[in-house]
Amino acid sequence: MSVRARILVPVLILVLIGDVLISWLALRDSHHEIEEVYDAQLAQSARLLQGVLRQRAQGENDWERLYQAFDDAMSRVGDGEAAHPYETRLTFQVWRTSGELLVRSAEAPVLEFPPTTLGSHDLMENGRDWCAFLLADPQQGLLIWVGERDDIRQDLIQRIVRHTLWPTLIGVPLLAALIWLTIGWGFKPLRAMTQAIRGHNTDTLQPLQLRPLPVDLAPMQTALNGLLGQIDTLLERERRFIADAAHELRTPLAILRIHAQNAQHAGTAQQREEALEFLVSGVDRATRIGSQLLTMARIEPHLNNPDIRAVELTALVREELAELTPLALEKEVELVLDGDLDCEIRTDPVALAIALQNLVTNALNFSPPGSEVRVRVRPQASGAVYISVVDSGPGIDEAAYARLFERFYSQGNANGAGLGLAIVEMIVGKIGSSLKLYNLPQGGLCAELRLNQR
Amino acid sequence: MRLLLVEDDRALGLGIRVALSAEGYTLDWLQDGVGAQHALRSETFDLLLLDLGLPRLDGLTLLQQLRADQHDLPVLILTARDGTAERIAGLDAGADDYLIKPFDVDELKARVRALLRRSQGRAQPLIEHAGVSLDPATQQVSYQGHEVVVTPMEYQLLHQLMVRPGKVVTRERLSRALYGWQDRVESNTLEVLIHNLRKKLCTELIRTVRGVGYVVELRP
Repeated sequence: MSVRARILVPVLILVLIGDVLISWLALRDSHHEIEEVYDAQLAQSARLLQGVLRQRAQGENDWERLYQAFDDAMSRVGDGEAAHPYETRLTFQVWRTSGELLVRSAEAPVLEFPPTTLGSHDLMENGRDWCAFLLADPQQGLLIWVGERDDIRQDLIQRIVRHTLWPTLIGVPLLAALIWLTIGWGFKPLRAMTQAIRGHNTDTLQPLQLRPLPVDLAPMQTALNGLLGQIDTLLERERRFIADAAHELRTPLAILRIHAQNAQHAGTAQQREEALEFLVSGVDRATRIGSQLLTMARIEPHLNNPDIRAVELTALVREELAELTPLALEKEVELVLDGDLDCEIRTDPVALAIALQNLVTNALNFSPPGSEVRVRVRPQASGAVYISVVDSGPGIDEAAYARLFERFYSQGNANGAGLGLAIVEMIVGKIGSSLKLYNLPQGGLCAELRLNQR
Repeated sequence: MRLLLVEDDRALGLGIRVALSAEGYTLDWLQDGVGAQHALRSETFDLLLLDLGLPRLDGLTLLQQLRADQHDLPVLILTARDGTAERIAGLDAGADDYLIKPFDVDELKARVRALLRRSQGRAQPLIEHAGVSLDPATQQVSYQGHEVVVTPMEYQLLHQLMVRPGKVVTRERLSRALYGWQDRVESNTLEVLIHNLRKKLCTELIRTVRGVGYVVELRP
């Protein structure tokens, strides 16, 4: 259901109900008022009759002449030129106070004796309703009665009322059409916005700049632009990631290809064996790069909304070390955890675990067999915690320090994917911690992670 | 032929060394830019295989410095940077050719041969002089139309002498070209190789310049 219809239907229903209600009230009131006017007319006619009767000469009893005059004036309505459509045909009769009937117009109801109610009253005679007015004239000893047929009066009233209903009948559909057009006009900015949004695709994610922009659409544009911005950033990151991955997979692929071809061209079985060994370790390396790229792709969006919570640090470190124990056994390196103190810190456990995994894996990969890799958890009074990973490998080349954190730089290590430290650095920056790498005087490397209390 | 490979990735460097050594080239391999810079200033090479993303000194900078030093050594760039702009930058910095990883080993070998041929001022793939004909692609030698079987070392030595007829090649240069830095060389190995070549081809082809080196006569 369109918004236009959602607005129009209730509005029309309300207009219709309101219109019917108002019309009904107006009809009821006007019906009543018109009745009053006709009643007043009856009263007036009765007084007129009374006035005329007073004017007759003392003792004059020529009722026939009077009857003719009244009948002409009151009953012959609608004849002649100067007639009014709403004139009513009045009937009359006059009694002596004693009840003797003096005059009665032809159409007047035949009553045995005059009605008892003075003033306006209704009466029924011979199955007909009458509206009447009875005026007493004690001075002359007369009862003057003027009346009209109720059905005729009602006919007239209905004609009058029907005329007042016409504008309502024509007005409602006209109003509906106008409301429909007005709503459409009101929706014009919304349609313009739709058009503008339709013009966008993933290649053109510029923010919307609608002008003029109605006040109530401004928040929508702001929200939409925020969303567009996020999508743009996301797409840009994806694009960069794919480009990086495609670019950086070239070296491992080159390694695979050259050793594969060397195996093909090998002159001796030993040369072929050597080349195949390189090929296998090249495949392993490419696999590691693949999985680290995936880790990177997964952790990057996660880091934008880090899930910071209270973490039992020693427990987390112990769990990660347990996972790396098979690698340590394979490398014949002993993995040691220093620090049994329970310490809690607010940080992102998933990100921290990945950072730790990478640092310890690096340490294991660079450690000679028979040596040990020591992981130490040291809480500080300030609330910060140091986690250090110490190995007895060759350490780092100070000159290449800056390049260590570059993606795909592996210090010439044939097994490294060159992403480990890049991932750690990415994580460290986002969870408010810092990483320091330094060679130890006795040889080996210390990777020190400082976690700040969040 | 003595080639210098500058490549920081160990696994790739090993692969290239195996592939090119099988062709009989002497391959010296360095893993960083600064080391390569020193080697290029003090030693003579016939061709440089250069990776661009190097530790300590970027490959492109190294190349620009090499050309600024008036070094006209042929340079083949081996890189993962595949953008057109990057290829143009590499060639404009003075590279003679540009090969994008991953590359076909046979293509690498062919490009190395082509670059060496051009640097020796030849357009013909075969090296021919005084009835001796060398095919660098197959490392086959023929004398007066008949194929002569030579060892890879003998081929390399003959190649060194044949590309510059009439020019004396010093003993030092020859032994460097044949062995590079890697292997210890017996002092009389060169003489043995020269002796074998004279026996297989003809005695007059290679003349000894006492105390200096050897030369292939321009007009025997």
